[in-house]
Amino acid sequence: MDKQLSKEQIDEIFNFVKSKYVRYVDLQYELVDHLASAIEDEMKKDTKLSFSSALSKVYARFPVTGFTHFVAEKQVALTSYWRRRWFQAFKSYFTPPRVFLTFLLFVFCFSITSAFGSNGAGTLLVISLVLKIFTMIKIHLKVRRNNIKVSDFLFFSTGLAFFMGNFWFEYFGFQVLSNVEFLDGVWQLGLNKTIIISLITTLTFLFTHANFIIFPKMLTDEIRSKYLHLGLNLN
Amino acid sequence: MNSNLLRGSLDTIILKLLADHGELYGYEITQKVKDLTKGDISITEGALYPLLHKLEAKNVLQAETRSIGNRYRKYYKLTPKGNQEVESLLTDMESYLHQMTLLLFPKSQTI
Repeated sequence: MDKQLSKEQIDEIFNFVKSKYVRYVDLQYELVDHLASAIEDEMKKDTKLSFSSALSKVYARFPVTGFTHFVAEKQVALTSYWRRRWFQAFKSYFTPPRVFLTFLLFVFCFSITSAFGSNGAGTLLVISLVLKIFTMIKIHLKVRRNNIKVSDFLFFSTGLAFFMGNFWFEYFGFQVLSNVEFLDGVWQLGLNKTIIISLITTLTFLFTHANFIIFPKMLTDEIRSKYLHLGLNLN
Repeated sequence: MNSNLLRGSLDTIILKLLADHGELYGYEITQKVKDLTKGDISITEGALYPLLHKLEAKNVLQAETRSIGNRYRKYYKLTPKGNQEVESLLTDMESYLHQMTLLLFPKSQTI
């Protein structure tokens, strides 16, 4: 077996990568292995080459921006990854009993909106918002309990940003509600807007439920399957 | 070699290598390309890793991180979707090479 670098030399590469503004631990591991493999190769070809000279030589092969491009591209890729995973999970969630339950949820939202107009719809949106914020707090507390600093892990922070940042449905819902007429003491929605707002409120509840159930499980599965080496725990 | 020519073929090269070798890690991919082309083609780190990450995000590749003693290494291999993708890319590449040969190096006319 070819000679591997020592633990001290590997630690030195870690420090080098950190000094080049790669703060994400998951990316540090990837870069360190690449640099270490290349250094081992260079030192094997030229036995007189020192470790630090080999490191400089290998680092020079990266673009002039250093590792910046690597980090930026990884962030884009991870956002795309979480989007795909989320939509896959969301699609597979809709088995026949859940499709029926979703229809019942829509009927419930439609009934509330029909009966109480924009006040009813607004209340549903606020409830969804509160539940979503509660989910965010729950995940935040779980992360703190396990001493995880989310900003140290790119896969974690991009996933969290993707899932927790989706307040779009509530936003659209309030946009629809802001364009209603006040007539005979009631905010008039009309049938079309009632259907639209009921769909929006149904989706907000579904997404909130997904954040509460699907995302934490997805994150735990991700850690178990790909990031065990980071020593993370999400109990 | 002209880097513009290489840029469009990078995913085909990487996927074909993985189809032939089962699993590879990043640095190993760059070395295999260099060895197979006797140094004529060199994939830079700036080109390789963004593509590997993109292919992983699209579920064309899957990655597994394993301990190799003094550090951890990320190995890439094709998913079932990746296997289909490589066949499609090779068919496209074969057709492209054939068309380019016809265009650029036409056979001389025989009387």
